[in-house]
Amino acid sequence: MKLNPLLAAALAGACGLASSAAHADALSWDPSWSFSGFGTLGYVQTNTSQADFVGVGQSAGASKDGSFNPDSKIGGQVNAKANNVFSATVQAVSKYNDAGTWKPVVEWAFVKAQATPELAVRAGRIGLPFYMVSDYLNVNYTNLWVRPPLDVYGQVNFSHFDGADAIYQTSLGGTTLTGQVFYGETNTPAPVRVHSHQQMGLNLTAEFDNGITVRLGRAQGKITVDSTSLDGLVGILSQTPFASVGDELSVTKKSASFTGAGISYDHENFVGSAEFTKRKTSSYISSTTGWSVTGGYRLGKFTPFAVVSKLKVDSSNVDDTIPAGVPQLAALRAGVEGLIASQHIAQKTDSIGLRWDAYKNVAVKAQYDHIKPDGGPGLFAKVQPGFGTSAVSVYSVSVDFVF
Amino acid sequence: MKTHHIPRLAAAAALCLASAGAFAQVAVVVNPKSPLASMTADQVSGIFLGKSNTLPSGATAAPTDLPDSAATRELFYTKVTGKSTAQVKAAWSRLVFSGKATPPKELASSAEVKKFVAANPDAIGYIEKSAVDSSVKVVFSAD
Repeated sequence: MKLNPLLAAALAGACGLASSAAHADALSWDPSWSFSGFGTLGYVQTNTSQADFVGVGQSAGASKDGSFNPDSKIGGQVNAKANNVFSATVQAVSKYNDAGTWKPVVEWAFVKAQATPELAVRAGRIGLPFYMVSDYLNVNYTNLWVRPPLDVYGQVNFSHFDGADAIYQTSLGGTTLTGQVFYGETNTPAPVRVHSHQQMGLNLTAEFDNGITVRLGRAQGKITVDSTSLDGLVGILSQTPFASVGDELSVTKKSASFTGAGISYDHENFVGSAEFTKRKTSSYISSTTGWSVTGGYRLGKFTPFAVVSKLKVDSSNVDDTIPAGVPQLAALRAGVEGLIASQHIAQKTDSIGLRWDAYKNVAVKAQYDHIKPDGGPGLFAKVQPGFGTSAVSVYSVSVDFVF
Repeated sequence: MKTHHIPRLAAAAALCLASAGAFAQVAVVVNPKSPLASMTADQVSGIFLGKSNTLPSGATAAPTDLPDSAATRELFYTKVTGKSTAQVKAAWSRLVFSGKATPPKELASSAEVKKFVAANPDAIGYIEKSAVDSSVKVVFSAD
């Protein structure tokens, strides 16, 4: 992780602000540290052998053969505090990844300067605030579901950036308002290397004292995908009259954005949330809309819940002008059409589940998802021909813990 | 989630009360020199649920918790914040794992809480009402 000069300047500025704004005693050396951990042991089985149900960023998961891959994970976090102003946080998570290993990933590693009680500046590797539960995406214990609804949370397969942000938090009566601006870049590891540059975003949250939280967020940047097969196809197309199709497919410094609005409710025994999100790119990665609505009711230690969610493909972003029925162009057209079809991730999900707060830091959950792909692969992996027309039943049980 | 305060690690004596079942009332206490005269349940919950890190006086609060096993802790959270132990745990997990806040410093007993509050002008803690003495000032109590 390298810090560019801009970020270094931002951090230096924050330090200066902190030094001048804080009381002298706040900068005294008063070190403390804490270690926290979280994890999930989850088992998933489905009723199909034509595709694998997977978690975000995975290429193999559960089918009729059950699997621990989609949801199981373990993470640890160290918070180190130098004094009331300066602190550092490192979080590492091990979960099944795209490469088929459990190699731990440093999700976060940032230093934070609490310049004033309202303003904090962070620099380093920071969680991307794309969603309502981005801050604790991996900590399933904090959520009602077995996993955040994939129709919303499956749209982007990276969750942090290297850069800096500033967070301003203030209270107005019983309402807590938080505003965050960020800037940075993300590079995902092999096998699918995605680079997201010049990412900038804004995230606004209002937490009312009646249990309602409202969130609005917007992020945009330039994305590049390292893919020799994609580059090959674009290269061939550039030699033909269909170069424009290649330009539309290409993911080299293409603009992309993610916009989301959400509301959550937690008051007495009622819990609920709703989220609406839009992914936009100008490449073969389709532009999508994902939404979900969750409702639950606490009955002592048990919380039954239901979720309805949908992922819609708004545009394939590619206008395939290669004519059909021309033998010489058939292979080329098939390549382009295949790529477009792979991005038809639309699906609709109805879920019911139960959370049981079995022990003070352990939750046991069971969930049933009825997923209907829209004729394409949906968010499934290892998709066989013929998949996509009938609904899939997904059965999940998990144990979540924090320590 | 355990917070270690390096200088105090050695000092933390295990003075657990055998049973807090006999104490039905909880008092929220601050330093006697604090300008605060009283606090509302919302102000107290705000600090103990991590929604606010400042006392009504504007100072950065230094809250302290009793251990998970203490009956007074459960009584405090149920009566003052209206949340169950599991809900409080989930709320703090959200804050801790987002690096936004550190949970209140956990002290072993009411005696430890009083000692900490008496020594720290911005401290806030809760103890069973019968343990209140002149070393601390009560700003809120729940029956």
